[in-house]
Amino acid sequence: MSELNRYLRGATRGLWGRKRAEVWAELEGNLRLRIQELQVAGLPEEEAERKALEEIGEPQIVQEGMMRLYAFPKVARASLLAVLALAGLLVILPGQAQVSLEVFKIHMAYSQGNHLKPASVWVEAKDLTPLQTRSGPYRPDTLTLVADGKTLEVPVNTVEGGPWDGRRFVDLVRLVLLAEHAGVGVRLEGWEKPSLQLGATRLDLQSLGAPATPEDRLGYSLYVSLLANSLMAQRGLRPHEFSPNPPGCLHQIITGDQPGTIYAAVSRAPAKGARSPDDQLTVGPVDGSGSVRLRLMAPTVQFTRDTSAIAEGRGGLVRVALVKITGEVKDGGLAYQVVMPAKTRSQAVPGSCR
Amino acid sequence: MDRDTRANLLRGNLELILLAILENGEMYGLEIAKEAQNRTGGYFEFKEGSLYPALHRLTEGKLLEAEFKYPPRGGAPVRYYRLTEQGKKVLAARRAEFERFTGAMRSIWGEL
Repeated sequence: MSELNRYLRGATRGLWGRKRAEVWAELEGNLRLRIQELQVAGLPEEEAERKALEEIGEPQIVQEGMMRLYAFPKVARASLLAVLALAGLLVILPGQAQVSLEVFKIHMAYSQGNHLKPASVWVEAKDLTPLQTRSGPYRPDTLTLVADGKTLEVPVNTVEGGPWDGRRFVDLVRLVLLAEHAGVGVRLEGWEKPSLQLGATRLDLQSLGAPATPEDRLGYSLYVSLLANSLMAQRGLRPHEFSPNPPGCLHQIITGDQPGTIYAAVSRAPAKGARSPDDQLTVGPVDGSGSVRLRLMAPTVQFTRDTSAIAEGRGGLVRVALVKITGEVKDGGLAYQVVMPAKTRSQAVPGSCR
Repeated sequence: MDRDTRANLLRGNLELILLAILENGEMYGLEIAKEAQNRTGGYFEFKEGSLYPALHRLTEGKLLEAEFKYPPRGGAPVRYYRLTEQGKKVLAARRAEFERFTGAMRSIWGEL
């Protein structure tokens, strides 16, 4: 990993989803400009990179400041729950006393533009009692959990105001990332009823309400959030644009894989005016015929293994990388392989564009 | 003046400094950092990284708005910041308050 990537990973550690993508892209953009300036001034590339990183300072300077600002998304800032779409879900922890938890799926609107990040998934802190340590002082902003013998300090958001005043919630994706970072084995599996394996504990997540769209599913939110982290860190892609109802055309892609295997596609949206282009990420399961249906940006797309072709937007055709998700969570996101489907070019299902 | 005192003064006034720099028009992080160094003749020693959380805080507070754009000289897209109407009002109010404060300090040690 280059020094630049190491810096960007360190500076964005603990952030996730769209916010991480934004901070990453901002720092990377400014650092690359500075490196370019220093090269023009006569420094060799490596030295220019080293000097630019020295000027910006330790990654912790940015990371700590951003975490103070964003670690507790707007849930803690009152009134948010008024704009939430809530879906009741059930979590059972086998191997422990059977415990039912309500899990809340929350769509958060961003103040800039009308884009939504994937619904975040929250569990109420009091319902995680089976994973809690018996000892230790009560702290309102932290929950101490134990998984695989590792102690996890999980941030808690407390709702202020409204009918849920005082209720405390934990972000499930943050819990997963913290567990993985602490060395707990973590896997995400399934689609209709996704499950999370946290060390020896299996969390079965079951939706009680029907999702409004395929992208509104709990599984979709979890896979997209965790995969976006990996793609940014490892491939330099910037999946900014999430929507519970994305535009595009439905493609039926033959994978020949086992039903239920999860695939994702990443492609770059055309730039709109002065805005920088976004990478679009979509996820879905393989059906009984070995195909996966994914909504992609154009009626005709070309698959590629070369993710830099996407990042640079080369060629006339919309290029798409097809990604097979293995389910394992590692290095701050979901593990994946870039694969080629049986046909390298795909035409949309007729009449499926919107 | 020792380094710690300067660092404390910088921390206390960083947001005012950023708002004042952006009064001249939109800029991205690297430009803002250079402008701050140039205008203060290097008086404040700070790392460029410390600006970003402050810029985000001001944006969350709706005093700034931000947008990713390609800079005119080319290269990677960067996040440009500009003052909002609310930001302009807050800058005017904070600047006036700061001037009253420094005026009061001067009168304490007898300068006019």
